[in-house]
Amino acid sequence: MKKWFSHIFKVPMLLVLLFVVLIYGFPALGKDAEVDEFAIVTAIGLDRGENDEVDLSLLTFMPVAEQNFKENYKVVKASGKSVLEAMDYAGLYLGREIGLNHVKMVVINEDYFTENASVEMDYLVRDKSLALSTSIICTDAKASEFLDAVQKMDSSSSIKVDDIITFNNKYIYSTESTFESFYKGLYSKTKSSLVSFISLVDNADEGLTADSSGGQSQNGSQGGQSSGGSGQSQNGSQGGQPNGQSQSSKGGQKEQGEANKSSQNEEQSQNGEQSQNSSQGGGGGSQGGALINDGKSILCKNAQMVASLSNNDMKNINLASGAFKKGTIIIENFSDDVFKNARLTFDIQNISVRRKVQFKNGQPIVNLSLKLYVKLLEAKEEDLEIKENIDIKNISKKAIDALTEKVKSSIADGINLLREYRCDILKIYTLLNNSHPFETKKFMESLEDEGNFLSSVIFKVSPRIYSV
Amino acid sequence: MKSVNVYQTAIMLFIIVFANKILLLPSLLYRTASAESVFCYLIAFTLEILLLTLFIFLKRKYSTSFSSLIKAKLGKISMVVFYVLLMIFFFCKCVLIYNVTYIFFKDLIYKNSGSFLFIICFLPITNYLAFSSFRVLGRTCQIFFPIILVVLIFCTVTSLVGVNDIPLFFTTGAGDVFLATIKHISSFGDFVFLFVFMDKIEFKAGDGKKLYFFALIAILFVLTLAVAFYFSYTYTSFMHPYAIFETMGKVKDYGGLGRIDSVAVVLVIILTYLQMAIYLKSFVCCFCEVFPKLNSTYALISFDLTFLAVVYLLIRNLEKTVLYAESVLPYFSLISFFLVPLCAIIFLVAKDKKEGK
Repeated sequence: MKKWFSHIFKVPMLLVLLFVVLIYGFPALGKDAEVDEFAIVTAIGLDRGENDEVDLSLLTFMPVAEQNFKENYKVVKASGKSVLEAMDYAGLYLGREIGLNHVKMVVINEDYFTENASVEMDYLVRDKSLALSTSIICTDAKASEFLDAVQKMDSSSSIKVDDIITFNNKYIYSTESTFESFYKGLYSKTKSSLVSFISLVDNADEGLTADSSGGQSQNGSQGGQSSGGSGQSQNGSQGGQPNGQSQSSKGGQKEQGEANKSSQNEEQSQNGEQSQNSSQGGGGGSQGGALINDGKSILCKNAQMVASLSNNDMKNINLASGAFKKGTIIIENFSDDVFKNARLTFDIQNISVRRKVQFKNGQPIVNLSLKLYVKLLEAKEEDLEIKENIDIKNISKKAIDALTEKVKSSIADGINLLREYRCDILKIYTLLNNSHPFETKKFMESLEDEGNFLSSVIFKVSPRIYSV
Repeated sequence: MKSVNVYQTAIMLFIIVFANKILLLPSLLYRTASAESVFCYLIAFTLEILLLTLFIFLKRKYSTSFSSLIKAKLGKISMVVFYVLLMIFFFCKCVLIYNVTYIFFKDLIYKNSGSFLFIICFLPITNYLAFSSFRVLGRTCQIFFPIILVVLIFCTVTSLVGVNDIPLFFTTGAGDVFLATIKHISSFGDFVFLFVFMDKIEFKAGDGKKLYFFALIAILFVLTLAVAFYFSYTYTSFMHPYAIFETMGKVKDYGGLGRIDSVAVVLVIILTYLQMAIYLKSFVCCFCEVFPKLNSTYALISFDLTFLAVVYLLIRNLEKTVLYAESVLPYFSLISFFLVPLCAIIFLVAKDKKEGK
């Protein structure tokens, strides 16, 4: 023992180790596990409440250590004069601290975007526990109802609602929508950003559906306590569209959107009563519904919504930016030696966009050179008979020309849309300023309205289509 | 105190280049100088290289310690004042580096743990390294150098892969760039530790190149990481206080720990230990010059007590640390970027005159 003590004192680091074990080791054994202290929040919903209050909804689960690990989700609702106060109340209702480290999605009611959403979002950003890569979703339904629907999604289907918009930026029809992308746009010169819009509709024929039938209805009657959600069904008519995304033709979609909206308004009034009853710490409602992420986005300037963009609008804008990896281009009523009044669907395999700026007489000219690698995968016409699957592989020059015109007109539509709403989503100002800082300064000074500079920029689009 | 060879010195130089520059600094610089923050790095690093050049010239001409030189040329009182200032400088740098790392870990991993846990982790080891001979510190740095290099290369490459945007340049003028440089000059000037150990470094003809090489490689790493950071986050750079951690592609995309971002955590831990040890060793060396009758034990006790008081009473969160770094520390950087170079130039010129006669 004496030898041991003399050894210890010769090596002071061992003393430090002993000290650390005494101070931290034994108390650690008797300490509660962190999972007993925190309620894990995976999604946050924000609604505008009465008297300028914030209605906060939290999709929460309490980790319980059992033989089989089970995530018991619950939507907790609380109101407060600020997000932080509402968060505190939610913690009181739950009897635990609110842990935001696992939040993957923040759902904000579109009412917030009609004014300035950044004020409410500010707390969430200041609190460093929320990652800036957290998705933001704007919805026309109440955010609390949205989370109720999310709660009902069946976890056994392996489709996580948190992931719905994770891959939005991969598709031509949509955009990235995270706190990071939102603030990048907000703090840029033109203060423009995009946020994904997801509708919650009842009895929809498409989208990711939260069915109120089955085991979930029981949970609903238990005050919203659910066991991993239930009753998710995906509509078979989607034909393999990922994450429940569906793309319909422009006109049809608009009509459907209107229809959905009107039916939803009716639902909202019913749900309003229901959620009031279950607020102040109550569980989720019993309504089902479908979440429709069809690429619709809202265009914000100064964190305020200026326009609602359809997936077709997003497609036009994304073609000019090249910020996507998957997508299709469709040509209607195409005729050549092979096809007659056919609908050709091209799969975009790859895209590269080079942007160059030159100034002529003080006016900026932006040259957009696109290289688009496409593959003709579908052809539909009345009398077309495909004998072998290589029949439609070769694309004629006429088809290439038609495709080129289609791309040109799409980009022109996209740019005109941005001009109309004076939002520089394509970061044209950064391009101008970085390549010709002095000319850009002069150009901007020469404008009566700097915010409308996009209207004075000439765009030259030269797409080159390659068939692969 | 046993001496170290120039290779070990170059490694220490390499390690100290990263002090405070790859975590908090990029986002702080962006607040004032936007994308032109890269120029702040270039200006400050140019000054650092000039400091290194002065050291190499001085080392070639004199084999004595820097304190003996000051004592001989400017008198004992000047030497004591000078070394007291250096003591304060190294103390402040040590406090800053500890706090930045502490807040980094507290924010990201150990949210509910107190400062005491971190002090227990950091102080004994750095104390031990400072208590041991200079050679022990040099060898420890040498042992960890391959790990640091591999992790750095990994982090830099991963960061570059995440670059997908272009920041808006030319939004700030030269005034903002210089203002940002002055505000954060305290994150630089680390090469001054070489002067403190001037007589403990074995230096042969041509060894200067090794020092330049290692310093420039480290500077290149810092610049690459800063550029990758600004190109990844552009307008939101100021919202990301932990640059190297956040530039790792996976962190940006998915957030949270448990993926490749933990590699950056390893780098931060190793660098913090070694940087704190270098500062602490420099502090101890200065203390022993100021109080020749007291040994390094007294130096360490004085350091630890003051350190605990400062850490506990003054700096508890990111905002206070930033305030400390931006408003208090820049004045102490005068020591490294004004007083030390001034003395070195005087000694070099004085010698030249003597030779001329």
